[in-house]
Amino acid sequence: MAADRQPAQPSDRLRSAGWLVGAAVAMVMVCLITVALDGIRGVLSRPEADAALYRTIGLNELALVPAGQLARRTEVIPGFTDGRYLPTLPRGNPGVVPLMDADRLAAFRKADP
Amino acid sequence: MTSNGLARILWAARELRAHPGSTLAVMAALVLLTALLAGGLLLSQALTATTARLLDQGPDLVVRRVSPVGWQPVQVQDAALALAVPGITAARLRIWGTVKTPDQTVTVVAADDAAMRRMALPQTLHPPAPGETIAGQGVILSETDGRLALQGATALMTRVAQRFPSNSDLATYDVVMLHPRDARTLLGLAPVQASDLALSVFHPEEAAALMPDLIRAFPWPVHITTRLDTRKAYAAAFGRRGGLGSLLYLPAALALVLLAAAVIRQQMGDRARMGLLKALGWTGRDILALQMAKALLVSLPAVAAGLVTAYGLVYGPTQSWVGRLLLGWQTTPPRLQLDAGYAAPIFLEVGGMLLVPFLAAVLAASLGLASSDPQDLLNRGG
Repeated sequence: MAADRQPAQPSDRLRSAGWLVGAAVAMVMVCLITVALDGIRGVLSRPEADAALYRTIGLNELALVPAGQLARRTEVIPGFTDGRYLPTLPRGNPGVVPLMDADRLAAFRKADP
Repeated sequence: MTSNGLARILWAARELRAHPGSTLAVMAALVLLTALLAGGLLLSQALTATTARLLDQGPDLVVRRVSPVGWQPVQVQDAALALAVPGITAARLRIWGTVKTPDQTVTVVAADDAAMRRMALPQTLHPPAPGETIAGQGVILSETDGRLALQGATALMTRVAQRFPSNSDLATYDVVMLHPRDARTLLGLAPVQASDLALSVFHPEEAAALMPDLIRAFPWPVHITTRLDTRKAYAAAFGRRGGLGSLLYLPAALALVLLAAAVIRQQMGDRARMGLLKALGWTGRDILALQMAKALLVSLPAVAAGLVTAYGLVYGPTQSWVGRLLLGWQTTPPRLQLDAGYAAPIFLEVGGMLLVPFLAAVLAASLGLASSDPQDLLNRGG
């Protein structure tokens, strides 16, 4: 019986090519389903649990990086620091506004040519 | 699809099967390239959106008392100074800091009973009693007795009474909530002291405009962080990491050029066969359609597989690589519950970025083949 079997012909590739096309279509379908499910998740999911706890705890940092690392330390975020009383700035900031005043600038130049 | 079209696609698949090695190599390269690009973009987008959503729930302004030697605690009565500023609607004294355990560093925060009552928290979470804690999922406990030793200004041994739920890892993963008295003891604060002030304002978008008034309200220097500052800091951190990631675009673009070159070279190698097909009666249009079908059969599933892989890497169970590789976790990283809904635009962007030049290169090469004389193709294909 085995002798009756025909050896594989090049044209047999056409038959198995159907599987290749099927696999390709299936992969594209999986991708489209992923996009659809992601869209549904984005619309329907309401991630409120983490938000409620975050609000309760009251911190302004997230556990994205381990505690103690520089990226977690919110106090080093460049904010506004009032330096009125810091010894590193012992004198009042002269500012630029008085110097922009033409009369005062002229008086200043006259006093100190 | 007509039977003629299907037959053409099947024929294209058959031709690809004649070169399985090169076909698989091109597909694998496209999968990797797509997964790399889409994964980076998807992760960046999801992280930015999720952190922005959470940070929006935090305080509008945080006021810290500073001195030449650094941070100073505030007094309980200082909250009234902030509340006297028009526009400030709530002032919350925060008791928090960073302390060590035998295994890691954790963020300690004092329970705010009023806040816990106000929020719709899971029924199982109750404010911790003295000596007890609520610990995040990432806090490592002693194996012998399950207790937690904390080392701050003083040492404190506590019993973990509850755990924060795992779906809030992004907010609570390595956070330990203590009774306010315990937290003050641990952080070295007097009973009338707190770490800083978290303020809410009537119009959050005008928070920055209140800073001059706040500075005048306190008799000592302050450091004020707005929510916008915090969001910018997080965005900058992602931007830095994204900037490093974008360096991958250069080799990715080079890889794409090489891929297209390899496919074109393969097509040129098929000139004799194309000449034979034309000699047998195939039209130039048939040749063009065959070459494009071959390119689509290789590139579409490969790009789709790369996109699905990227999605799985960002949202799937193997997501821990993000924490380990990018966020610096030495212990088990938190499970990031990232917001979804960003796949479609990113998939379109990455898919288009890779498919369009790839298919354009194949089309350009195929046009040459399709318009050539059969005899010429047979002679040159040798």
